[in-house]
Amino acid sequence: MIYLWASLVFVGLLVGLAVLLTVAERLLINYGICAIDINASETTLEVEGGQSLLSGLMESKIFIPSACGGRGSCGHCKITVLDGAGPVLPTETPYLSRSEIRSNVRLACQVKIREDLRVTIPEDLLNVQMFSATVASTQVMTHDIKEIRFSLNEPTEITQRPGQYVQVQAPSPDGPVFRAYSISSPSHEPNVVDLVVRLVPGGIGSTYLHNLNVDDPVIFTGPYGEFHLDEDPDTEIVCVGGGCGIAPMKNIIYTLYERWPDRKCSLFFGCRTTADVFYLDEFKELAVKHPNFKVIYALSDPIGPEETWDGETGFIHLSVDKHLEAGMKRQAFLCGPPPMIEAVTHVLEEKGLVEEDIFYDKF
Amino acid sequence: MAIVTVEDVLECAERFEQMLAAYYGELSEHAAREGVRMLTDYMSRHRVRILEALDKLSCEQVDRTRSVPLRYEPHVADHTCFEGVTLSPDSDAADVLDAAVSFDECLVRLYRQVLQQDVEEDVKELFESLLHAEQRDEIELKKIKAMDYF
Repeated sequence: MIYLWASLVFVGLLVGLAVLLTVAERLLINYGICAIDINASETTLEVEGGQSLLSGLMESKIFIPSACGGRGSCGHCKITVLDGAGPVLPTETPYLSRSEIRSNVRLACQVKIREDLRVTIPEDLLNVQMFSATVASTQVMTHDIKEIRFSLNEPTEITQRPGQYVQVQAPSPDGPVFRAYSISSPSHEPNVVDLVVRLVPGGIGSTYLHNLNVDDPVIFTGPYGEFHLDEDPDTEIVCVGGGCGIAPMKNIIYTLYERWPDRKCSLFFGCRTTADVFYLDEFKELAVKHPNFKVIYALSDPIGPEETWDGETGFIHLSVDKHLEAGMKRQAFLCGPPPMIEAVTHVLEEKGLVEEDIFYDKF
Repeated sequence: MAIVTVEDVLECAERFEQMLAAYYGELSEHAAREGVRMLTDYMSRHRVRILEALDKLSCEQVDRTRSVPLRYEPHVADHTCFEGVTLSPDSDAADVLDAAVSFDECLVRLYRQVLQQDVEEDVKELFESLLHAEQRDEIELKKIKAMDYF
């Protein structure tokens, strides 16, 4: 018993000391107002010192992607800090390569604003906005996947490129967190944002989104992502998705056919069983309207006695290998788990695509 | 509780990584399901990559700290981590991924054991990096499971 009390007292003392130090830092150390010089003085912000760079930028409506709410556990909030950041912290090193460290890339959530800073932020990120929206509809796609449509309130329009994503604010016991979801609605529908969400047991973001009802308010930031669709109409687009990774493909395909009705595009989608198949009929209808659009779905589990399936079987990289001729000018977009990405990339490279033509979301 | 050096703890982590790479490699060879074969083959190669990074790390960056003494609880990350795991060639991907998360937890406990001690900044920095890398790996495994592809 005495050990328990001793441990409790010790832990209590440590917690007390930590609180005291935090309070003392807040009260006694005043960093004052610090300047953040962005992109060689294109913009200069004045923010309260003592907060993280991520918070300081967010306060000024510059939204750097971050999935963990600034706890340093997702590694998404990378930006280049040229001056004033101090040494790289151990909490940053697992997320930064040596060349990134050499190039002054830092995690914005781990950099504390103590003095004036000079940073470089890609133009795309400066255009990211915070949106308030309302749930317009929810549709059950499979036993664990829903399509959720947001109608935008403020701002009322989003300018997005196919393949980009938004970060939805979800409540959690530790305060709001942001979770990334690809936009599945095409870029020519600027007043709405559609998401395709698989329910992950215990997942903060997916549970929140699956429980939303029509007219519920939502907050998200975006758009994020560096994918640029090849503007050359002779370049064939290859989309390969696995599991529930079809949202960005839907956006790419519908945006593509709005602009180039005759463009060549192949969609490959792999899932396990017929119960996981969705959007297939919709894509087949689109293929009737646009003969250069090919749709190939493949199931990897053995077909059950009560299932009917006339599509491909096996893992999706095998279908890509079977149906894609080598040597065409192509751009590929992949979405799925890393072993699938690796297998598909290998097949695509054998078909003549080079690394620069193959895009995928960082997992 | 034994007293060992930083080098000993890193060697323990390397041995465990070797065990994991071999274990996943073995599973990959005998798995009945194609998806489990593909997944475990990837996981085996991933552990080899981590092992190589650890090896490189211990050569290049640990020289100054390798003989720092540490308190060490044995059997945190060794063969005992496999004792409760009952994977077979018929196991599905979800079982494999659950087991993989539990193996990662063994390494997390090993690194935390060091970080709970009053160690110098260099040692702390090294093990914090290793801990974060392992935690990130755990998140990746959970995301693969959530995608339900294999």
